[in-house]
Amino acid sequence: MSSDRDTTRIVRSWLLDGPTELPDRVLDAVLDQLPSTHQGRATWWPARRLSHMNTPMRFALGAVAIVIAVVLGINLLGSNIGGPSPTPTPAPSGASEEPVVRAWIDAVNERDQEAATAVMSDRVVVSDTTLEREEAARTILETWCPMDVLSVQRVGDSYIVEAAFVEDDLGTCTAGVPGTTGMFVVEVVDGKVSRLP
Amino acid sequence: MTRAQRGDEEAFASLAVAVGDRLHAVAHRILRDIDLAEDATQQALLAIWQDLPQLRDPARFDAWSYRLLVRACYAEGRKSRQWSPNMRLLPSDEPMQADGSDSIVDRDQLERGFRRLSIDHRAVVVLHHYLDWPLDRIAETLGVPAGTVRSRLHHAMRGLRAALDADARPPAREVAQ
Repeated sequence: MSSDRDTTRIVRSWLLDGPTELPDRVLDAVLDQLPSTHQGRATWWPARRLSHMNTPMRFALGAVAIVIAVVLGINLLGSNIGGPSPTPTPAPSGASEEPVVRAWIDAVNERDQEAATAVMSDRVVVSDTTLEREEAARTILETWCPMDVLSVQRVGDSYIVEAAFVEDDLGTCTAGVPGTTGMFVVEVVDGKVSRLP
Repeated sequence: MTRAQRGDEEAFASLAVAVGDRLHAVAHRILRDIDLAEDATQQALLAIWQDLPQLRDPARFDAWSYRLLVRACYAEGRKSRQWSPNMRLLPSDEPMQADGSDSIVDRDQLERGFRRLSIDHRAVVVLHHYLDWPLDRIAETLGVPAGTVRSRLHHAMRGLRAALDADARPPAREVAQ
């Protein structure tokens, strides 16, 4: 009867036999098909799951969490103090910048570096390295998945964007893969999305 | 890789040359058929080209490319099941070598035993015993829990061991004598 060790050794030896080179004709066939095989669209930005996020996004979402907590806290306190719950104040007519926010999200999803740079600080830590904002934006855009916007809600001068992010467990952006839902905050200044508050 | 991600065919050709051999070697060891392995490698390389823009972290290219290869092997394996004969393990008259070294008979028996395994089980055996990957890396590549990988490897190796032992047993007529 074979021991486990014998079996492993025989299997390993057996697996060494066999081709180790891809025939050129197969490679040629692949390369011939490239022009007629469309690449999938790059679907980048933003969030990976928190465990995979690099530093700037953790900071961003951390800041967002704080802002949301403050906003919710204020609303909650407001509802407990002073009698009846205050009616949410609608944004002044014609003053909604939501389309601007959505246009900015579209631009970022298309890896528009200017759009990404707009919300970054002058210096950003990316993977433990401090980068100038332009380079940081470029680096981040190269590695992040897109977002599907679920809602854009105005709170004071800021907009809370709720988005679903897609990625599979290899960190690949795969359409249709259930992703995490997250929120972040942007401001609109002079008709343009500005850096995170 | 960044250039290939942006549609540069020349850059992708260099990438394909760099990874083609090892993908093919693994495909052949999983599928045990030269034509199927070539088809699987071709499909995997095209899938890599198609999906490359969506790979966000180039450091994960290796694991990602092997995942696409294993998927291609599943597809080719399904095709092959439609026509391959139903194989059955038969005892051979040639005994196992006394020193335990792997003989032609071992290889023949392994071949038969291996072909009876599912592609899932074969992939784990090849990634672990051919590429020498640890189980957690295999789990990440295949997108399954590490426990599943461990279980598949155990089951596969038990099957291969049974195939080798079946060969070592004396033929029935010798026992009768």
